[in-house]
Parts: sequence; C-alpha cells; structure tokens
Amino acid sequence: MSKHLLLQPARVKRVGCILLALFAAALHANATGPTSTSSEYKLKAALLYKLSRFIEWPPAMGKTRPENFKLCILGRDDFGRSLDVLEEHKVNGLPITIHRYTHSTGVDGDCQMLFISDSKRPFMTTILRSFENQPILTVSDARDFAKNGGMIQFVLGQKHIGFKINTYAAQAAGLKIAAPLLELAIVVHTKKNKDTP
Amino acid sequence: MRTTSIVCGDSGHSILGLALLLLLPASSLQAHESIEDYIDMPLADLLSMEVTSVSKKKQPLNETAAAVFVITQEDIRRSGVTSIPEALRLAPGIQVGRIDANKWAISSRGFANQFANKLLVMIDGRTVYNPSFSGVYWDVQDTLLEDIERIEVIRGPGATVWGANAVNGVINIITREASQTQGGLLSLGAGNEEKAFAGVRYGVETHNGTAARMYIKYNDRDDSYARNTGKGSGDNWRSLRGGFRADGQFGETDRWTIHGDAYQAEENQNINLWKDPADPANAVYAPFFLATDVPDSIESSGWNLLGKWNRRFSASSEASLQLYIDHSKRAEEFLTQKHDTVDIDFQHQYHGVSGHEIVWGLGYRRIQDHFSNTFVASFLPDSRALNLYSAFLQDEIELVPDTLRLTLGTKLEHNDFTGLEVQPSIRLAWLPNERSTFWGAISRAVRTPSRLENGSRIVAVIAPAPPAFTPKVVYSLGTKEFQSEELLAYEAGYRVQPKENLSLDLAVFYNDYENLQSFEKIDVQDPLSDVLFDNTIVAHSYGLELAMDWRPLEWWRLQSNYSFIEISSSLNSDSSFPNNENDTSETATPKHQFSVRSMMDLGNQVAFDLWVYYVGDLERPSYSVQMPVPAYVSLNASLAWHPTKTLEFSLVAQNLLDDHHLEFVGENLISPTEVERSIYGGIRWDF
Repeated sequence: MSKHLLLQPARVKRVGCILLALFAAALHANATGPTSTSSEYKLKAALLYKLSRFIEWPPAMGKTRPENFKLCILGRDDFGRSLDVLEEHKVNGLPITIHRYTHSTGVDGDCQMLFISDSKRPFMTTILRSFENQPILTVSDARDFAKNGGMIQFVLGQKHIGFKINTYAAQAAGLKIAAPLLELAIVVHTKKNKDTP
Repeated sequence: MRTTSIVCGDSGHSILGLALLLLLPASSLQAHESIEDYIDMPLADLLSMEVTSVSKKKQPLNETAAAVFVITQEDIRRSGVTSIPEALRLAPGIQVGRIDANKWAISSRGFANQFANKLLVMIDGRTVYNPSFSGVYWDVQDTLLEDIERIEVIRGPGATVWGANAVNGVINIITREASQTQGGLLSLGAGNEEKAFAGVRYGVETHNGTAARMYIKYNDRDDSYARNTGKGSGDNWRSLRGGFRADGQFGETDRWTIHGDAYQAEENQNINLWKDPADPANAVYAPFFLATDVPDSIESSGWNLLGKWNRRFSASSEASLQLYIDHSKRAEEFLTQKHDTVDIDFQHQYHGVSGHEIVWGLGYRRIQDHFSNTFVASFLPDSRALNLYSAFLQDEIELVPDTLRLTLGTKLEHNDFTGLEVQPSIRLAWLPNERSTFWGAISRAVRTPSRLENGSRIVAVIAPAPPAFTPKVVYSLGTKEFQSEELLAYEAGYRVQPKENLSLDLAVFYNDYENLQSFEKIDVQDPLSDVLFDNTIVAHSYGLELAMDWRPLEWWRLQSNYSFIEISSSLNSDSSFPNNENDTSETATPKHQFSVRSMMDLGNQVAFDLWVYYVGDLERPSYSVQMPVPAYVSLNASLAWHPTKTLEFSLVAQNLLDDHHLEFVGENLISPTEVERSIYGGIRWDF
C-alpha cells in the first residue's frame, strides 16, 4: 500500500466527489432564500421585541440618557442565534444590545429588559427580590413567574403562546404598560392591587 | 479499492437525493417565518401563531436517576482539547490513558485496557463500538469538534436503553442541528505535537425550514516519545475527514435528519511482531522469533450514512425510525479487518396515561465482517455475518408529581453467540425540592462476546528451543464456549444546587461482576499449553465520583471533580493460574483521579483557562507487558483572544509540567510510548 494514501489523487477525488455533491445541494438551498427555523424560542425572541413597544420606562433620573437598549438574558440561553437579529433593531430610538449573564449578582442594573431562563427557577424568588422596584422589565417562561413577582410570563397553551402580566410588580418598578398589551394578557394580581381593569 | 468507490457511489447517490429534497418548492411545505417576519407582524397575530413545541419538556439533567455528566461545546472549546478521546478527560470518573500517539485506553469505573470493552460509545445515534474485539478505535472517532453540541457521559450501566456492552458507561456524542451551524467556520492551527490542523464548515438554511451543513477537516499529528530509545516512536499520523448533516421537516408533525461522514487515516506505529518459526526465512529471528520495533502503518478508512425520521402523532405520542449504514476498514501488518453494519431502530414514546411516560423500541443490526488473517492473528472463520435483534420497554412512573419518580425497564437482546440477554433496571428519583435530587438504581448489564473471544487464534508467546528443536508457539484461542460478562450494579447519588452559582454532584456505586474474561490453559500440566478465552474471573468494585461547578464571579468559573475506585477480583478456585497472574482487573485502574479547571473571562476579548488533573498510579495496566505507570499531574493552559465576535486567536499548552510522561501501556504488539508536552496556536473565523 502507498505510504501517502491521503494525497493520492484518486482518494482526494472521491472525498471531493461527496463534498461537491453536497455543496451543489447547499448552493441550491441557498438560492431559495435567507435563513430561518421555526421554534418556540424564535417566536419568544420576537415577542421580547414586540413587548418593549408597549412599555414606558421611567426617565433615568440623575443619569445620562442611555446609549443602548440593554436586553439581558440570565441563565441558560435557549434563543441561540435568533436573538442576535434583534441587535439590528431599536427600542425608543436606542439600538438593542444583548447581554448574557450566568448569575443574578452579576446582572447590570442598566438592563432595561431582563429575560430570566427557566434554568433559574429554583432561585426565582430570591432573584426577583433582588430586582424589586428597579426599572427593569422582568420576563420569563418559568412556571409561576408572574405569581412570584415577575412582570411578564410567557405561557404555552395548547398551541399558542400567551402571557401573564403582574401589573403590581411593573408599577412598583415605575414601568407603565400600555392598555393594548394588557388586553392581550392574563393580568395577575399579587399584593393588594386594584388599579387594573 | 472497490470499497472506496462505494463511498462515492452510495453516498453520492443519497446526496443527490438530498439535493432534490432541498430543491422541493417551498410552497409544498409548511411555510416557516424568519424572525424578521415575526418582528414585522402585529402582536396579536404573533400570539395567534401555532407553535410546535417539544411534546414534553425534556427532563432536566439534574433530575436524572443516573450518574450523568455533560461536556458542552464551551467546555471543548475552552479546554483546548483537539480530539474526542482527549475531551473525555473533562468528565469525572473517566480514565483516559494515551497508549501512543493514535491509541487510547478509555474506561469508566475501571477495567481500562488497550481493548477496554465495557464502555459503549455512540456518535449521533450510531454505535462505534467494534464487535470484533469489543472496544473502540478512538483514533477514527472524530468530527468537527466545533460542531459538537455536547458529549453526554453516563457512568454506570445503560444497558436497559442502549443495549449490551453499556456495562460501565455510555458515551453519547451529539452534534448540533444543521440550523445551529449556519454560515462559515474556518479553524486553522499548528504546533509541535499538533503539527497542523484545518477545519472548514459551511451551513445554509432554506425558507421551508431545511438546514444543511458540510465540513472537512485535516489533522497532522507528531509521534510520541519512545521509552526504549528516547527518540520519536514513529507513531505520527494524519487523517482527513468530511461530512454533512441536513435537518428538516414536513409539516408540523414530521422531522427528518440525514447525516454522513467519510474518513481516511494513515497512522504509523512501531510494533513487535511474532514470526512464524516454521518458515525458514524467519530463521534470523531465532530463538525468540520476535521482530521488535518494526515500522508499520495502519491504513484506516470508512464512511457512514444515517437517516432518522420523527413523527409526532399527538401531544402525547411520538415515534422515530432510524436507519444507518457504516463501513470501516483497518489494515495493519498483523491483521486487516473490514466491517459493514446495517442498523435499523424504531422508538415510540407515549405519555397518554397520566403519570406514565412509556418508551419502547425495536432494533435490528447486521454486521458483516471480513478479516485477512496472518500468522500473528486469525479470526475464525475469517468472514461472518452477525445478527442482533433487540427490544426494550421502559416506563417512567410519577409516583408523587414533581417529587418521586420510578423508572422500570428492560432490554431483551438476542445475539448469535449467547442467545437472549435480559438487561433490566429499576431507578428511583426523589426531588425533595427544586434544588436537590436523590437517586438510586439497580441494574443488570452484560458484555457480549466479541468475535475474537468466540473464534480466533492469536500468538501469545513463542517459547525458544535449542537448535534442531522447533520452538513452541503458544496461542490464545477464542471458542464458542465463551460467555457474556455480567454485571449487577447498585448506584446512588445526590445532586444539589445550594446557591445560584454552585452545584454539586455525588455518585456512589457498588458493582458485582461475574464471568469476566480470563485465559485458562487447555492442559493444566503443560507450562507451554495454549490458552483459551474463558470466563473465570469474578470481581467487585465500589467507589464514588464527586463533581463541583462553582462560579465565584460572573467572569470566573471553577469546575472540579474527584473520583475514587477500589476493585478486587479473583479467579475461580479451579483456575489453571492459581496465582491470579493473568488478571489485570485490579491493577489497570487509578484509585484516585482529581481535576480542577479554572475558566476566566478577562474583559470582553480575552479568555484565560487553566486545567490541572491528577491520575493515580497503575500497578500493571497491560496484560502482556509487566510495566507499572507512575501517578502523574498534567497542567494545561489556554489563552484566547477574540478581537471581534467572529475572530479568535488562541494559544494552548498541554502537559506543561514534564517533557514526557507515561500514561498507559498497551499490549505486547506495541512498544511503550510517552505523551509529550504540546503547544499549539490556532485561529478560528466565523463568516
């Protein structure tokens, strides 16, 4: 047997044959359009952006106006690359930047929106308490999130995504939620709160 | 040569099919919107969109009633490892010993050996366990490391689900879905041991939800240090590999995946070769008839193609059908082996009965082998087809919702050597709160005979004789009498996350083995009697593995683990070797192993990682070579700088503490070699 099998033209040709065929396939695929995959988290990523349009943050007192809209993710990131697309968009004229954190003590107080992964569920109440009354919109898909003091909780029904809003938590943080959003949501009351419709 | 033309023929054929699939007009399939489309839609419309969610949330790993550890893509990338066997050092309780540049002894919970046979290894659902010698050729188990999603390392038996040979552990290497590897990736590097490596991947995606990628990679590796000569040991090697993966769906209920790889490796080795005394040409080798340190090369090649189809019948019922073919060829001076495997596997998950999650499956595998026998090693017969039929049923019962879970199951497997094998297990998980899990399990697993043990003739030693007498060749013979090795395992564990940034995982086990492989003389009185593969060893082991993951700061993560094992074994009282001299069960496993990794993000652009691991001494890892391996400590460092999101420069140094050290000793055909200090630089570019 040859000592240089790897470099034999016949071998290279065979490997090349497979790869070329695949590449041809790939090029055809590419011609059909830009990238996409359907998933629960792709929709949730879009919802994060959509929700932000219905929220009014309190003016940053004593601070300079922020340069970016900080969208922060705490815990396991299930969004993958779908979140990166949001960085090409703006909220209230501010370009979105994505920031990922592994534990709550590291989270920057400048985050305007904080998505807390279900992976943080065992520590949710502690985490929520640490962000209480700060102008950070907290969002999660963890069970009982809104009930425990989170602001917006995604819920997955039979086939559709819906959400629960804890208006008390939002108000305490000085966030205003526009009425059209509340109409689409299940409003959760925790603590004494009678202002919601 | 005939086989390689099949590579082009067969895979080319399927790829043509894939191309056709990709060309299907988007309108014939369910339309899938991109996130950009979602963003432009009114909120109310988004909320009315149908979502295909995973039918049931996957059970979080920390609630599993088994000793599981996951090596993530991040772990692989940050550790600087350059191959799958080296990556396994990241897992607790796994013994990885490098025998030479292209051979490893890898085992879980003891019994490591060049031909370690109690660990089942799968890559994307395809088993890479070699049925001829019951083990894994680690040198050819590879893929683009950047495309690996995770490596699941299960310590302890997994036979109820995975089948025979998942005795002491299961390793599942899972690559990313094609949709997760879009765009281009270029990875290049060079160093003293990793002389050159290059990998390219490109992935595309269509509007109808189909995604595909292809990759090609090349490695050129230096030889290791020869103990006998103090020079290079002539075991340098090169490999070339390419592959593809495509994932897609038909409508909302059907998902499919097709992937394949083809590889070729040319690996050098220095071997000791027995010479046939009956051949007058070999007279120069008298009286021992052993040619030492003969340069040889292993020519390895292979390809595989796998298709899998998932269908969701309802929210509580889902099935998958998987088919793969695998071809491999390995030619060495003393043996050439070819394997062609066809495997079909059906699985159905049903959780329509409240509190029960039932999984059952059926499988069939056919392995056609072919050997070109030599004087040194002969498989008998030299060609054979083996059939494996299997069925399994498992029910996960929620005894107390979210708190107490009982899993009962069994595998029934029929093989051509020992007939029906039953491998049941019972597992219990108790979750007193969301932060902790207690679990326990009792399971039975078997290691079925290999072709080697069932029928072979291997030269064990040639006894010198004075001139005019013919030297006696002593053979090891495999026979049909060889039975399966059996294990009854008792395990328990505790996982806790006391704080948000700290988690601990403890597993303890007691293993009871019977019928372990041994050698017995045919004629007890004859000191030069041939020996048979037999089942006369009984053993038991106990031990623990402790893993800790702690993030003291947002930018600093510490991962450490410790494992301890004690094995004792004995031969049956009627053994022909009463002094236990042919049993390495106790002597090939380090009693203690310890590892600490520190991962630091210094600012946004620099990552600095350190990794220290300790492996305890081995009294005698090799059956045929009496050589101990001292304990060793390895220090590894990696520095990565990414000036932009898509570009990374890295510098990796491995085994910094010594010029070279011994990690394991192979069987007598290979001269002992040592692992050298390695330094390499790399560039990674995502485009």
